[in-house]
Amino acid sequence: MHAQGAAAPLPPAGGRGIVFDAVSVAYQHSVVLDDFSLRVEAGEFMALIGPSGSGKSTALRCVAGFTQPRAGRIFIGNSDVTKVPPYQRGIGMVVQNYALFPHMKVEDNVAFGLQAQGAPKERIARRVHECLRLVGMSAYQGRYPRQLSGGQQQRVAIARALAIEPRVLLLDEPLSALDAQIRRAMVEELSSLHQALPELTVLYVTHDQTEALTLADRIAILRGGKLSAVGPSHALYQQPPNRFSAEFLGNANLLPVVCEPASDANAGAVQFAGTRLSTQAHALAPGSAALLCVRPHALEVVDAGCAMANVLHGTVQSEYWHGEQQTLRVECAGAVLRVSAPPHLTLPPVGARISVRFDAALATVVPDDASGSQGRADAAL
Amino acid sequence: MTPRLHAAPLWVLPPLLLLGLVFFYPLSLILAQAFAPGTGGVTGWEHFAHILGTPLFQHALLHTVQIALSATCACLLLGTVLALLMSFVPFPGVGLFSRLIETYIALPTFLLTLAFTFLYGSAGMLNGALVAALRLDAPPLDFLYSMGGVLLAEVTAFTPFVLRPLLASFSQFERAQIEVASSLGARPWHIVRRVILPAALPALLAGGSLCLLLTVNEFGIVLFIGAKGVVTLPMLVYELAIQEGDYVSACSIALVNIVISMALYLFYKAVLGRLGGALAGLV
Repeated sequence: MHAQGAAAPLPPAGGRGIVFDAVSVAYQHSVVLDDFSLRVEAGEFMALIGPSGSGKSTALRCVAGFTQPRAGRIFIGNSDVTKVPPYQRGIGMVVQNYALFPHMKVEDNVAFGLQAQGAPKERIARRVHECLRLVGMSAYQGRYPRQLSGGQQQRVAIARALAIEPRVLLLDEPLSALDAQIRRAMVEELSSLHQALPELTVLYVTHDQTEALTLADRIAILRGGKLSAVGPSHALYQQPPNRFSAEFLGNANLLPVVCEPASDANAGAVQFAGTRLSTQAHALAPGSAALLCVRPHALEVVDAGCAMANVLHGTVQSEYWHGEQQTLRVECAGAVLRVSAPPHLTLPPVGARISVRFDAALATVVPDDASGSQGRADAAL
Repeated sequence: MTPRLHAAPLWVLPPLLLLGLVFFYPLSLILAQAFAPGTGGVTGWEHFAHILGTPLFQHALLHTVQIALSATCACLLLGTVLALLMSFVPFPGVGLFSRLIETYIALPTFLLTLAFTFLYGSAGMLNGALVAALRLDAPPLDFLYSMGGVLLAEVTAFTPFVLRPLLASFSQFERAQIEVASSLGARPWHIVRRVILPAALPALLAGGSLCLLLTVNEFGIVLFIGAKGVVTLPMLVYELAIQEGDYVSACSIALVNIVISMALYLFYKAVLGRLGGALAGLV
């Protein structure tokens, strides 16, 4: 993990990549995107996630050309497209409510972009056929959008965006309007689509961390118009660089701890309620206040007499059964821990004293910054 | 419920009788007069056919159709451009402009023509300014007292009838369609032609057919302007009935006017019903 200077200029992206170079957007007196820099490599699937109002959709709209930055530049490939109108940017875009043209049949919707660009009829017919086949909608090409389900309409919207062979594909919360079951299926289909089109650069805006973790090669977390953290999905999940990332991505347990000198260079140590706990290596000074980040599934219920390291003792406050798993809320020295357990396990009743433990490799130490990453340099993995 | 249903015919009888007296009876008189026998043993049908064959009627019909179609096309064009600008290229004061247009619909057309006389008439402000500026002996602009003047007044009076349903339609238009179309490479005119106007087709047809209905029957503007040689069907009915006292001929022409109006009205209702009147905000 390392800190990245927020204002460091980024060179143009090669091929079909995207670069945000110190982009700021403000509506009247409200800053929506603040000195935002990010590089999306060609062929990469990048997810922008963050709470409502974090600026993720604004960032995407800057790439599309629908929002003009107050400062900074946008690159697609080697071209500075900051001042280029949307119809000349060569992008495909899919939005939450599909935005299919209701008076056109499926095949005409998919053909729209190529027709607008004056492509030869043979190429249009070929691309319409290819793209509808890619999204499994060939059998529906003669139907109108109103004759399709939500999931089918979104497939058509994706085919329409891909038909023009875009330099980049922008997806703005594309699954938000679908019900949970169809959304899960569509996530798998989008994953397959990315594997089928490895050269396609995708910028995917979502507030759903599961979608981001499933689909993205890398994830950028935005907060209050600033980049809070960016990194490969697995690394960002397992080693969140700051409190906000830990809470937003995966809703981690955060225990207030004090850093202690580590016994070796590849490990870290902290103290929680008088107990020394081993963690991943960290760069925080001994004696400084910090937060220990442990995911609910990294905690396991053990016997009270367990002699292993990293054991915490507490009282069961409540239990929740979710079908695929169950969750315990355990009060532990004034802090509350969430512990995930498989559904078949018989858990101690509410009020019982239990012990839980975790592996040092699954425990990350982040600075105890009450405001998350705001005001700090952007964190990158 | 049953007793009330059985009693219903008795209750509806008085209003029906009143309606018949004030509406259907005068219409039936026109119908009867239109087919009344002429002088010298000419039957009603022969007289009716004779009236329809006169150059006076045919010129009036031609002028009516010419003015109605031209004014409707111009209203559609102007209304569409204005609605597109007001909806998709918002400018300061657009709300006030929209409300003014709604108020405009309530004004009688002859008042508008009177204003036009002050503006563009021989002694109007425009001619007065041009005469003073160019030191002319006579007013240079004379278009108000021609078919062009009638068209200008009708387009001004009836464009709001196209504009209003279009604005209602555009207000429900999904803006994301425009953005997606633009991202796919479509330029603004292509988006207007392929995406926006097809969605506004019901509103266009509704506004256009209403405009056609109003322009076919417009009387005040044509009378007030008094354009030389511009006689429409309503004007001809007025001249024959009021000025010449030829009620039979006037009723024959009025019958044709009624048939055209009813056909246009039925078309207007069909458009509203079948092509999404709810979308146009009119039903």
